[in-house]
Amino acid sequence: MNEHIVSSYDDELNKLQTLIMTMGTTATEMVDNAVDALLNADKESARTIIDTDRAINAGLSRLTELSQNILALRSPMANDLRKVLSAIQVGLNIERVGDLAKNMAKLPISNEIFIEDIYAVELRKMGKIASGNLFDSLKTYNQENAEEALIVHANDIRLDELHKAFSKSVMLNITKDVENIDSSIHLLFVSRHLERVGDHAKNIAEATIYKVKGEIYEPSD
Amino acid sequence: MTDPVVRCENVNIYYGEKQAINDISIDILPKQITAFIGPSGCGKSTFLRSLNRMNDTIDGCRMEGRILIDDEDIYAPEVDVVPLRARVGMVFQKPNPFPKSIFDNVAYGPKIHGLAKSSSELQTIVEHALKGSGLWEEVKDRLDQPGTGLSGGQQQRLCIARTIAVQPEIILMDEPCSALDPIATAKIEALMTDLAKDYTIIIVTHSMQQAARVSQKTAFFHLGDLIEYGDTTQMFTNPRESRTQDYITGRFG
Repeated sequence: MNEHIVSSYDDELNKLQTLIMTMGTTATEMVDNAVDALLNADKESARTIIDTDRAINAGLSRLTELSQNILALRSPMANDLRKVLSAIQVGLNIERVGDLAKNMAKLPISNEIFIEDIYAVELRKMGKIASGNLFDSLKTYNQENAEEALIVHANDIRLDELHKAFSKSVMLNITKDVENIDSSIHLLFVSRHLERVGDHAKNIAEATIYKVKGEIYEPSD
Repeated sequence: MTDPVVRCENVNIYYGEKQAINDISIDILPKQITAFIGPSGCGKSTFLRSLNRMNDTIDGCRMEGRILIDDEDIYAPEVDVVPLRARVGMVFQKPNPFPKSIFDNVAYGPKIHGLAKSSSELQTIVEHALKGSGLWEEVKDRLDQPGTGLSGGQQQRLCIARTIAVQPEIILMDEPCSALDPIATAKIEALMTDLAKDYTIIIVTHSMQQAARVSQKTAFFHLGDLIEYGDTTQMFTNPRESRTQDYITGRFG
């Protein structure tokens, strides 16, 4: 991509991209850490995650401000316009992921959660896939790779299937293990949150496709 | 599908030995605003002027190809350029009112083209044209005063009134707002949108924002070539050609 005649314009667009990647990396780590904190009942780590969410929210405010300034002062066109619009879109999705990680982190702070080993394994697996998909979608955004974004988008189905299977299994168990009904409900909540992290990764992949090709991606499902 | 009002076929234009326009074919749709954009020297003004044969007045300027307006070849030998230029009016970069009264500025064209049979009919035409250019309310009490005494924006709207007074089909505008402040520019742009209900407008502009704001179609010229021509929204959000993208995003001058 050729550089702008006005190089400060390039600097501003690069700042957006850097900010997105910083926020995205942080959110990805938050998801991994939230699952770890839950499985290890680590209240200390859970509190750190909750604090980190504030940094993500501040990042989104900064991103909104930068985008607003570029829109008002530079009147971006074509691929520059799409860069700014997609940055806002991605920023909002990252912010939601931060909220989801924060919600998951709140659980071990105020609850004693009983987690059977098989469920711990499954949740860890789902957590890895969710954060992996998020990381991959951010990578496609950064590298402006629309083909790869399509693959990342399609990968979400695996997480959906795991979430369905996990929820079904926990629901069946609720009737058998009435004593731990609270824990079961918490686990359903976590599974649902991880599935939603995957949805945000999918949205980011869609933003990549828009940024690169200028097309609104509408999957057939 | 609407039939084009202007049809240009393989147009080449030369200034002496130098070729300014390279084999351009383009159709212009009626009652729309079409913007010609491109860097200085790209040929957009030359091409615009060929649409009412204003280039005929330039020594050494030569044109090949065909330009049809309503299926009539405007370069055919029998064509009289005087009625042609009434039919295809032009508004220039710098407002150029005649050193006459506001009324006479607008009445001049209809008079020489014999459009008014009586003085009351002429008055009606002048009023109608001044209303059409959004100037009537500002000048109706001082029609006998010199047109050159108006502000820049008012002078430009007077020139537009002068153009529409002869009932053109097409209005060519060559950078009509480049000498105007943002308020006067906004008034001209609003006026263009109104005028496009009745006229076909083709505007050459260096302001990408202006092209984006007012036009339905945009044509991008570079070094005498027509690089890309399409819907304005698409041109400014997702152009097909990398040269268009580089130009509109400020990556080359």
